[in-house]
Amino acid sequence: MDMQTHKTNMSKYTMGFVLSVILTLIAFFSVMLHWIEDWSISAKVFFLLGLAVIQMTVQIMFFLHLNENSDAKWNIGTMWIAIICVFIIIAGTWKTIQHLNYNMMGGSGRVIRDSDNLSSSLNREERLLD
Amino acid sequence: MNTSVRIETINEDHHDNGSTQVFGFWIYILQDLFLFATLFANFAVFSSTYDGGAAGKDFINLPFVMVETFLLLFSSISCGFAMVNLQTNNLQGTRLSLQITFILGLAFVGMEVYEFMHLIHQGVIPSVSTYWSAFFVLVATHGVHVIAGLIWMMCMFVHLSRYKLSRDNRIRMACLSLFWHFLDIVWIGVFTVVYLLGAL
Repeated sequence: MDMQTHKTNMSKYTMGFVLSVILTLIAFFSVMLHWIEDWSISAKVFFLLGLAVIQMTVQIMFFLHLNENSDAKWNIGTMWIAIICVFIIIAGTWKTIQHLNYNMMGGSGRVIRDSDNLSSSLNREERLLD
Repeated sequence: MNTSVRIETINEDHHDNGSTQVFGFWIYILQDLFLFATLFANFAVFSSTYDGGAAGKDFINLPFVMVETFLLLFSSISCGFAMVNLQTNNLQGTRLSLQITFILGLAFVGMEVYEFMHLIHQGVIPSVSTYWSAFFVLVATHGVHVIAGLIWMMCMFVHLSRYKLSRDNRIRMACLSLFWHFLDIVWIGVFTVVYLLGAL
């Protein structure tokens, strides 16, 4: 029995590792080798954030072994609550403060070189869509 | 008599895998996640507030960050192998895997310190603009966690040589590996949000 879990664990780790390497390489090469150069800025952001979320999920599933002991239900339940809170913290802050910032042109130290400004391009796109 | 023996075994079973302690540590990790969530939100909001000064884009060296990422990823898998060795009661294997994890983690910290020194040398310090404050706070908080993990590993080597593969050591190792994998997962967020999106 011990030998069996040992083998499955080993293959689980290896599998997670290989997937992580592939996802990391895709993320870095798509920026470094200009694979996604022609995409719109929001498509690039969604693509890269999507890759990050997939890789986080892979590592949680293959490395953390949350569902292997008697506390599986609690481990996973608390994790979901934490994920929801994290989402509220990040998305909520981004949405509210970004809006506030945009309406304070220049006032909040937001004098920037336009070409480098990701969020202003995002905002501009949103405005174009409107 | 029979019943009491059975209850005892159940209690001992529950005690033996130390799952309550590991669960407690898991709760700590989740609250640590909130710390990083606020720092990520902070960084995202100020991702373009250069105040007319140095922009992040000019200082991001993606190949350098990619090496850092792979150092941490390799250390994560070798930490996993330490756990596999622990399950098969292989003390020597556990120690060796953990030593490899330690060296890779140390190399990661070394690269990050070099990166910071390089930035400071070029006059990019946290007080330059809000962007750089957010940058240094987020990346350095992760770095400090990695250093804490390294110190923990040094303690773990002492524990391993003193108490071998005792029950307590197994619980410590389970918590340590959770912590180390968690740091790698946070780093995925850091390299995506700070470096890849910053270099766009």
